[in-house]
Amino acid sequence: MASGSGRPTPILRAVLGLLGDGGSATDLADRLVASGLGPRPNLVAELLAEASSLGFVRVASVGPDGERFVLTSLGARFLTEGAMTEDEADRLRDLEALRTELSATIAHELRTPLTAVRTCAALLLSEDAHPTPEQHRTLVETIERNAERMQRVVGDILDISRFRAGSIALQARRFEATDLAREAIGSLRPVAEQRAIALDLRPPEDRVYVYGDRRRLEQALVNLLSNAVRFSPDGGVVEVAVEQAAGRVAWSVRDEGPGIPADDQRMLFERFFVGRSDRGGPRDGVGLGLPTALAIANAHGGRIDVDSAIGRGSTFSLSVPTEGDEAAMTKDGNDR
Amino acid sequence: MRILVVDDEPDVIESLRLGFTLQWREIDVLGASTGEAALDVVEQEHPDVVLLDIGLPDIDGFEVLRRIRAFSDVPVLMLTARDDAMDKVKGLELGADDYVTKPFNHLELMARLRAVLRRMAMPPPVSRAPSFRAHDLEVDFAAQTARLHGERLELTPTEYKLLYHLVRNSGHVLSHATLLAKVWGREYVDEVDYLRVYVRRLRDKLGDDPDQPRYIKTERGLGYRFIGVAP
Repeated sequence: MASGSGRPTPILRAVLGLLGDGGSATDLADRLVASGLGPRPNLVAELLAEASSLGFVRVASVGPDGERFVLTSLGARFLTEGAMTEDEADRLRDLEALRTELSATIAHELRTPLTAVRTCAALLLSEDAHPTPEQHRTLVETIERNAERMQRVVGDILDISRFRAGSIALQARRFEATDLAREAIGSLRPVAEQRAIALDLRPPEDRVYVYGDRRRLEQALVNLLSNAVRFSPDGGVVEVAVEQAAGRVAWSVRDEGPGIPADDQRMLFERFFVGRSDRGGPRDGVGLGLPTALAIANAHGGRIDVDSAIGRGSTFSLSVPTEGDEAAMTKDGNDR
Repeated sequence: MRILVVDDEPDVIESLRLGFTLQWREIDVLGASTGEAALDVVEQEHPDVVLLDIGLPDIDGFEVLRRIRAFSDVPVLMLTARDDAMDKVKGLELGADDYVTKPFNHLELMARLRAVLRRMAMPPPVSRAPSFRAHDLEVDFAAQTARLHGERLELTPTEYKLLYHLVRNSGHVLSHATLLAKVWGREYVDEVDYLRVYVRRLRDKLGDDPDQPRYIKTERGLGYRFIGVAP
């Protein structure tokens, strides 16, 4: 019954229509009988065979007794519409793989810090733990640090959704470009110092004023800096250069990390791309830092350029027009 | 006693280290943030227990477990941010002793750890009857061994315990909860996946077909029954 062409058989279409996005085999058997398509004693085996050949129908929780399974609603919506081409089947497979990877990544990024929070909170609440004042402080600091991390992940997810929906209005004003770099460096310094990584600032000769959303541009620069620190070797140097040319200002972040493979460079600004773990840095982040930074740059009429090669480190340059992009921004006019 | 905590998040390792320092002082915590580092520590330091995260930056925890099992029987608890049942089954099939889903708190983890250690220390069950025979299977209770067609079966302690309780109640249905409590402990009566994985492993070693069983019959929704009849 399986269809190598990616075309689902009538029984699967019927099953998906009857089942929605989940249910037990027993419920389904009853519904199939009621609809005139049953009984089918080998229904689960039939569905499994077809699911594996189609690839995109996810079957979960099938125990040795074969009593439960779930078909994804993504596949269900599509399949109930009828015929499908190879390209469409490929697209569905890609979407399903992305969805699975995304949920695993977000689960890891939220549940891991939550584990540290719960462990520390349990110790603070325990009547028999008796932490010393120093241990008490460590527990509270760990909770605070991990709560911040979770807040950042949630913020990144919300930000990227808002940028894509075009629902973020930039609050533009005039500010000095090197000041922004200095503050971004300051926010990363505690993390860098833990690994003896130097954060150097190379300012321009003259002060450079920019018209834009200072908070958002700092957020973008912090995302670039955060990646640079993460992939730098212990004791390495990360340099931030501020330059002005042809009506644009650029903040360039250069690291001494392992460099990014050419294949990965094409994917860097895709949402939820976390990069290969063999780049040498710890896995961290949901893969939204660079897409968010790019969305902020684009909203200012700017861009992000990447120069990287294996063994030579990476340079990410965030550049925007110094006078802003009137069409893209909402002025508050206070500082202009 | 020394525990190796393998997690790519330093705060997880450090908070567990502090937790053991405060509440289980006999435990020393070793840490590893990558799979390769974990394999080195297991090989060189011989920890008594390993807490192993699945999401590691270099090689995933399942692969680390597979490699550990190639040279060590050290008890391994998988730590994971995923709560997918298939992940759980995969870990157990590769030889994990337990599975804890993040976020857990320290007290939950200590309870699971104590259960695993208790199970490791528990002597195998003994019987007054010297042995049991059904078809080509012979279980020698005194020697705590089993033979099929006269060949000794390589059973893990957990597999032996499961077989023991099934054959000692030959002909009777043992519920999932009963078997889980007898073999794993009372905390595990809802962990039916554990039982399924081990029944499958036992069937494989016995050459038993679940559709036409000679030894272990699935009683759907209830449990399992040993159906080989002792002569």
